[in-house]
Formats: sequence, structure tokens, C-alpha cells
Amino acid sequence: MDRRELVERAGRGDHDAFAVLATAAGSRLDAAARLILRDGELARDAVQNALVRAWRDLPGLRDPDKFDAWLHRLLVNACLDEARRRRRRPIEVEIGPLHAPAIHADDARHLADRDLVERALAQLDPEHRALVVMHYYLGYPLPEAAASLGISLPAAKSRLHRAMGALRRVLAADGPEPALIADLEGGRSA
Amino acid sequence: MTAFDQFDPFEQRISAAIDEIASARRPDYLDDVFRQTARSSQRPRWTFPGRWLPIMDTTLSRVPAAGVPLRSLTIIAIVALLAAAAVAIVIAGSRPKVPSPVGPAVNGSVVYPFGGDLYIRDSIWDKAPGTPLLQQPGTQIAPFLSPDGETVAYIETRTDGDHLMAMGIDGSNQREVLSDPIEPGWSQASWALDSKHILMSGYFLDGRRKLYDARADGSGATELHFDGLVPWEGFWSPVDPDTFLLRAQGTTGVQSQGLYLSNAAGTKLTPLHLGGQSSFGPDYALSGASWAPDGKTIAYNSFRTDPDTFITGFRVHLVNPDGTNDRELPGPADIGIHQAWPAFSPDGTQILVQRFIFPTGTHSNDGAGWIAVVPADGSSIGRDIGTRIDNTQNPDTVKVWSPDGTLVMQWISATKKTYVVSPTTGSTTALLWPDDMPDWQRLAP
Repeated sequence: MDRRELVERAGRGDHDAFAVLATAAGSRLDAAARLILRDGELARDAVQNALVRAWRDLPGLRDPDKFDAWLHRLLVNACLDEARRRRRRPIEVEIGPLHAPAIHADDARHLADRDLVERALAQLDPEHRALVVMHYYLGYPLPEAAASLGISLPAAKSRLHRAMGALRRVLAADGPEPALIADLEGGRSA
Repeated sequence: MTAFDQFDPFEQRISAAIDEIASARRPDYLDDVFRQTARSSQRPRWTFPGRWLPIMDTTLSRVPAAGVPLRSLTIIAIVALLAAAAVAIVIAGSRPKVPSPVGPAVNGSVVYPFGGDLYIRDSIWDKAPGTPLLQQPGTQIAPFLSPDGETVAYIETRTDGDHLMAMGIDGSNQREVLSDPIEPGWSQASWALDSKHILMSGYFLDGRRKLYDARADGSGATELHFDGLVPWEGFWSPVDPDTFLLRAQGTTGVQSQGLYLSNAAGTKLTPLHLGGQSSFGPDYALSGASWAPDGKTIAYNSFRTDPDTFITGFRVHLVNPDGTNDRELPGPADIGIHQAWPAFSPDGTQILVQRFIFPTGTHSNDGAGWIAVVPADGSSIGRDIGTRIDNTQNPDTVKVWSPDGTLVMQWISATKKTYVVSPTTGSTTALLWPDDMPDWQRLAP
């Protein structure tokens, strides 16, 4: 059964088909949510809410080929809702790094990049992180990311420019290694 | 990824680093999700506008207006008007007396969010399923009911920010009350005594903190300006319709919060002259203000530092509206147990507070949060009630008094669970139906 048929069947109430689709998407949804929210519990809530909403609203999806984009949009909105709920409450508790993933990088530069980017991402607000994640992690071209977030392309460009500027500033302030400084200054990495 | 990105070494490395940080893995909670979805039904197709209006693509949030047949729209509008008129007639025929805007009232219906929509129940003890009040695209949360119990204001979160909306208690006449979208985050709303105005403050999309006097009928809103001050929050007086309490920050010199009494137009300010700085930053200095029902006392968040340990803790202060007689409400002896976010009971005799312990470090999980009731006369430190959450990084708990003052509703942020608590006996009942904080309707005795 191809993916389009799975989506159509899920939209007609076939829960097994929905489970196949959600399982296939689960890892990436969870990772994207953790990137946006920087909190494992909130990310879990966001993914659960997005999937519950996806199941409920799937009959309204007109184009089965847009399932992934639609699901990612639900996820990003669920993440932003979680972030809003959290900020709406009076107490904010700083969240540290998400987790300590197994080290895959095989050289010090990758490790340094990952560490700096992780800390730099933590400096962005969830809306900016959402755009960064859609564009750089989920791989959406900016126009599609803008459409999914419900903002205009100029607004998305502006938001991404600000996010990247903030990333560059944080990375520069944290004293990246020479190779990354060369990138920041427009040069080629070694 | 765009072709351009592939040639930007900085962006390439950002992308690669993000991939490594994400370290995708199969989440262990999918089975829980499937159990939940298997039990719930899907929305019928006919309920999606895209199925019967020619919306191009439901994945896009901006629906092109062009191409929608005028005839369809006209028919829909007429049907909607007739339905709204019919509902209005029915409701008008059974409308209860209007309760007093302050003081104890009868507990009415409960409006609550679930799954991004709003529902209503006749009472918190109602065993029947809740009635959908508002089910539509976008996420509707944070219902807060007018003093007369007739109007539900709420926040609609859209991709371009939070929007202040309102509707009748029966779900009719949904309208936008404030056209200026708010940055998702700390918005604060306060109903006026006449249930016709809402003071709405927040951080808006243009990057400014603003305070609006919004007309609840949707006819417009007026931004209030305060010379040399940035408004953070406003709370209508419970006794004087021309007065509200303003929390504002100076724009020059040392950034410092202050509390002021303001007239309704915002043109006449009287400072309370309270210290407006804290080690927790401007978000919290002089925050959480709450009027006593008789308008003679204001409770607010303050801080005290233990001279021996130098530990600073939240403490609730009470002050007269003219700024005199500022005093600390008794709280736990341990300054590490914070006491904050006061709420007077409807009869003004008790103050509901949050007590919490911050996690000790960014990776630790040893925070705790609960609620307590303290006599408003400060005669004791009061007693803890309700459900306590331990071993959490998020000790936040939200609470509201029932209109008659005999119950308290408690919502725990970390677990998203709601409880009904008796402030006298401490008995606690979990409510299984909301997924965010509900609000209570006031009814006349």
C-alpha cells in the first residue's frame, strides 16, 4: 500500500493506517519538537497533541500528498502552543540541554559546533527556533516553511535572518574555534 | 534546504549540527497516543469548511477569498444569522439575573479548554459530556468569564500571534475584541465591573508592551499611553469603575517597576511608591497584583532576602491602595519555600497563594509546587491544600476561586491536570475533562 493510499484510508477512519503513518513520522516529529521546545516532557506533549489532532482532523485533509507538510504544521503549532502555555504561566524555570545524545561526531570540530549550536538555539525564542527547525532540520524551503507557519515570505526571511544573526552572535560570543570563526566571517572552513 | 544553502558553509554546519543535536529516535510514547486515538472519533468530513467551500489547500493557513461563490457565502451568512438569532431568542428567554460584579455569587457553568477547543458544563460535578462551545480552526484557550457571567473572553492562538476574542456564554457572537495580535506569552486581561471593557496588556508583535482598553462587544479598543512609562499589566478596581491598578516600568534611568493607580483614560497616575526591583528581574517585580473585593487592599508579589543565607524568596505583600501600610503576608518560615501569586477569596477573608520550591539546578528535578490559603488579616501562615507536585522542573500551579468561595480549582502545569479542592476540608477531586485551566461563571443568587 503506498503512502497516499495509507493517508486516504486513515482519513476514512482506518486507525491501523494512521498508526503506520504516525510511527513512520514519530522519530522526526519527536526530534523536531525537542529542538523547538528544548524540553523532553513538553516535546512529548506537543507530539501527542499533534498526533491526536491529526487523527481527529485527517478527514479534512484534501490532498493526501500534503500529509507530511500538514502533520509538520500541526506539530509546529502544537509546539508553539506548548511554549505559549508555559510562558503564560507565571513561573519560568530555565531548561538545560535536552539530553546527552550518544556522541556520533568523529572530530573535535563537530563536537564544538554541536555544543555551540545547541547553546545558541537555546537563546532563540520558540517561534524563531520553529522556523530554523522547519528550514534546517525538516528541510522545507523557506516559502513552504512560511506558509506552514502562516507568515509571509518576507516575514519568514526577516525572522530567519534574525535567528541566524542571533546564532552567529552567540557563536561568536562563545568563542568558537578558528574554523567556525572563518565561516562567520564569510571565509571557508578549513 | 535551498540550493543557496548548500553553498553557505555556515548554514551547512548549522544544519549538520542540528541534525546531530536532534538525534532522532523512536519515541516510546506512541503506543499511548494510539490508545488515545483509537478511543476517539474523527471529525465528520462535513464539518470541515474546505469540504464544501472551494478552499485550495487546507495546509495553508491563509485562505484565498477569491473564487468563493458569493451565493454560497450569502447562504451561509443567512443560515448563520438565523441560527444565531434563534439561539439568542432562546437564551434571552431564560436569562438569569445579573450577579453583582464583585463579592460572592452562585457557582454557574464551567468553561474549559480541551484539545484546542472550548467546552462548557453546567457544573463541575456534571457527569454528562461537556458541550462544545467553540470548535474551529486555531487553538482557543484561556477562557475568562465576565463578572456578569454573560461573556466568555478567550485567547485564540494563531500563527501570527494571540488574539483576544469574546463570545456569549452560549458560544454566540464570536468576535475579535482586539485587532492587534499579541506575541504569544504573557498577556494579561482584566474585566471591568460593567463587563463591557477588558484591560488587555501584553507584548505585541511590533515589539512593544502595550495596554489596551478593549470594548468587549468588538467595537474597538483604545491604546492607553503613560508618559515615560511602559505598561505591563492593568487590573480594574473592584469598586471604582474609573480606576485601575497599573504595573509599569520606567523608560529612563534605572529600569524599575512601579505600581500606580490610574484613571480609566490613563491620564492621571498616582504612584504607590513601592520598591520595584528584584533579583528575579522585571518580570516578577511587583507582579501578580490582586484587589481585595472591597477595594481597600492590594496583594502583590514581593521578595525578601534572608540576611544569613542571602537566599531570596517570593513573598506576598499587602498594601493599601494609597501605598501605605505595606506589609508582608505571613508565609513559610523557610525562605526557600516561595509564596506568591495571591488571589483574594470572593468574601475577602482568605488569600489563595502558590507555594513552590525551585529546582536546585538546571538538570535537577527536585522542584515542588502546591497551593495554600492564608487568612487575609495575616493572623497565621495558613495551610497547604490541594494537590502537590514534586520532583518536577516545572512547579507551576494555577488556581481560581469558585464564585461562592467554597471551592478552589487548581491546575498543575507539569501534569496538565485539574483538581477541585475544598479550602476548608482540603478534600480534592480530580477533573478529567479539561486539559487547561477552566473558568467559572458567576450567577446571581
